Amino acid sequence: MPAGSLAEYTTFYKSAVPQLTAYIMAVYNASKREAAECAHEALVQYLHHRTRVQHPMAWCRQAAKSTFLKRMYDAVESFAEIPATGAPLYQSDNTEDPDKKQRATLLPLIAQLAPRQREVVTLVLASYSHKEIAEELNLTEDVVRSNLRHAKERLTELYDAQRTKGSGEHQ
Amino acid sequence: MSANNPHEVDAVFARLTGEYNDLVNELVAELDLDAGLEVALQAQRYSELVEELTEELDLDKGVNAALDTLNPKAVDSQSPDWPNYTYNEHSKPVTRPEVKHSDDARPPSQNARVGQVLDDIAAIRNAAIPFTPSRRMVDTLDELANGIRTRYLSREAATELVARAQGEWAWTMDALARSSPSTRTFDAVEQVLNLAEDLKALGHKVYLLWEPSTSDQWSGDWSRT
Repeated sequence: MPAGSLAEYTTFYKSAVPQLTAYIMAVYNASKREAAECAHEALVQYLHHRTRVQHPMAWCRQAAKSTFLKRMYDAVESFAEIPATGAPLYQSDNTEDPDKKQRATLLPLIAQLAPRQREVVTLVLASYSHKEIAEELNLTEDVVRSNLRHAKERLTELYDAQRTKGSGEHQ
Repeated sequence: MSANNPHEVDAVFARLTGEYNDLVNELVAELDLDAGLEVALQAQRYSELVEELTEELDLDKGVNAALDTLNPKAVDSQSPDWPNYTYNEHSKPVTRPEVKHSDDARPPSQNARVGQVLDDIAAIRNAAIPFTPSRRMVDTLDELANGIRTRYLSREAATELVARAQGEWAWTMDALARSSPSTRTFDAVEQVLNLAEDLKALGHKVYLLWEPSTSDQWSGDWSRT
């Protein structure tokens, strides 16, 4: 667990930013750039609070989510207006690879799940145990399992529908 | 239905797990983590410097010295009649030099505004309670009201709390949109949308609590702003 030293923070930053970026992309269907900026901002906030934080990754996840939602509902501060210095993770604007985006067929379907299911599924994908997820989301393990089961079934339905639609278009 | 076939469900989830891991690996390769880290550390070094200076410098002494340069004989912050204290050798009225209010200190003349904002928060809070997923939003509003009431919050912290409440309300809207048609009645939809507008208006009112008091700024139909 990262504690107070900057060396530990450096290690934590480098492992947490990609994880948080993927999480925000999956839960909110955010673009890579948006998600990376929120992840970075969460890690900046964490740097200021790190000595008081007991569960850094969970804390940063909440901070990244809050940043994303705040930006989404704040008409003044749109992502397009953020200066380049605020987005150090990408040196150029050419960040989205359309081929790669196309290859991911299931990830975008997460955004179609109910909010709780989205979070549960994404945390499972990020290798968290049911117990850890229950603690973070303030649920019982049974509720986590139930959400996961329904989410998996719904994803399968959505995937089938996507495939059926895709094969229909090709015919 | 295919979704009931456990093998297919497992296969789809295994594939999803693969996609997620690919995404994380792709991000590790793509993101300029060294540059991001450097920016984060620069921000930290700057705020550490500010903290260090705040501790080291005798700011009270500095403020008093600065005020004294304006009118060394007349300025007496210990006077019980302050700020209506008038004195100088020529009997001209002397007023205290205008000090810009810091973010943490709300002018006392705005008690009426504070009362109105607290009423608004209570109204939104009570209207939100029947919506089950709104618990966190209600807690956020309680925190906001308490912070304003005790004058503990800075403007930045207060606007952050309003933004959080708006974000949390968005979850309620999302949940309602995905609910069954029987739950999604016209009244429920209307109430949820109205509360979203009320939260937006609340954001403006909370922001203005830290502005100097002028009656024209506060009047008007805030729901349309």
